Amino acid sequence: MSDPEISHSPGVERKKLVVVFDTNSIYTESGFHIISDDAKRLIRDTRERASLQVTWVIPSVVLQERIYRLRQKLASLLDRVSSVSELTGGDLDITEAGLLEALDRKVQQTLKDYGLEVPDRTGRESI
Amino acid sequence: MLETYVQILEEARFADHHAVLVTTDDLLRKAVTSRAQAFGNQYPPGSIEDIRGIIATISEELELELINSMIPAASALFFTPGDPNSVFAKFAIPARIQTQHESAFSSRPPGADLRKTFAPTISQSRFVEKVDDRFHWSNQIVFPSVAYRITYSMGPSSSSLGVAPSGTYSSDIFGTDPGPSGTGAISSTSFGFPLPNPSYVAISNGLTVFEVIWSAVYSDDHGLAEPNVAELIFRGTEWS
Repeated sequence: MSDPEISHSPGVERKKLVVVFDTNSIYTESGFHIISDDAKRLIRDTRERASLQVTWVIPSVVLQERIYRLRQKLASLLDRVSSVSELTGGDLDITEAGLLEALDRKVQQTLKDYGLEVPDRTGRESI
Repeated sequence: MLETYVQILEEARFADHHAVLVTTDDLLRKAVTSRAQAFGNQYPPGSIEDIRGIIATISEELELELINSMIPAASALFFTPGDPNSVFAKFAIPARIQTQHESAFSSRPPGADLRKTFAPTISQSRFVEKVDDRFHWSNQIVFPSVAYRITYSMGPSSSSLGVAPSGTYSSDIFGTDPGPSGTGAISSTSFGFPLPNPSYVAISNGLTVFEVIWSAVYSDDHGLAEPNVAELIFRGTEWS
């Protein structure tokens, strides 16, 4: 998803808001995404408000929990891949390490696409 | 999570920010509300839908207290049982859902043979935005469903071989529950030979969500009046 540029009137001070997500607010039933469709929609819709500057924050502990859930989902799907590989007798060339790397890339891309900050314990942005 | 949130509020770069925590955890909400009172720009924690209202309130320089005081009136204006002037009845929301989104009630999760949909719940009104003199609101209408797999087995003869679970089968989603003595019962006598016994196994629960965006003008004298419906949106069905 591209990040649209929104023009803001020069000289007009925009109000600022920091929104912090708890795990349950971005949880997805399907287990396929780091944040829910509702959260994505909220972020997209808010970009259109020129009078407000919003900083979206996922605390590190929340992100780690979400990643743990995604990896659990991945592990459950890996069992099926093994079955398919055994069934077809072919090497599908799908490794757990490769899939975990792909998952991490997807997480990082989602954080970037939606402008989500992940501060570390010292308050600096870590991701 | 409480400590993490407070640490973020204490960050120097957020000193001139309003702040809000998005959570559905009631205990955490209470704890944050109590602990974060010292931070002047802290808004009450809420769900994603609550945050939408807070964002609109801040960006349009409205008082949160005013918006909160209007919510009961907005909720009553949207839906009051038996009131033909409520938005829900006046703008024929049930009929619109049926005619515009009938297919939303026919989808089933994988492996399901039958879906039963039950009477909806209606959320309280949530503030969306203010455009000129009109306050825009949103209400969610949520239909719970159960998806069943049907299995058959041969058993001793019986006059009633299977009773489907009660609920609403057809697109008449706002109709009365047909009940087990209605469309669900099947009689073997009309066939003259034994039929297999169907068993209904619930395999998934679903929530089908619609959102109604509507608006009304507000005055101190008359409260909310002159309602109008802007949009009826199908948000989807989530199975678990």
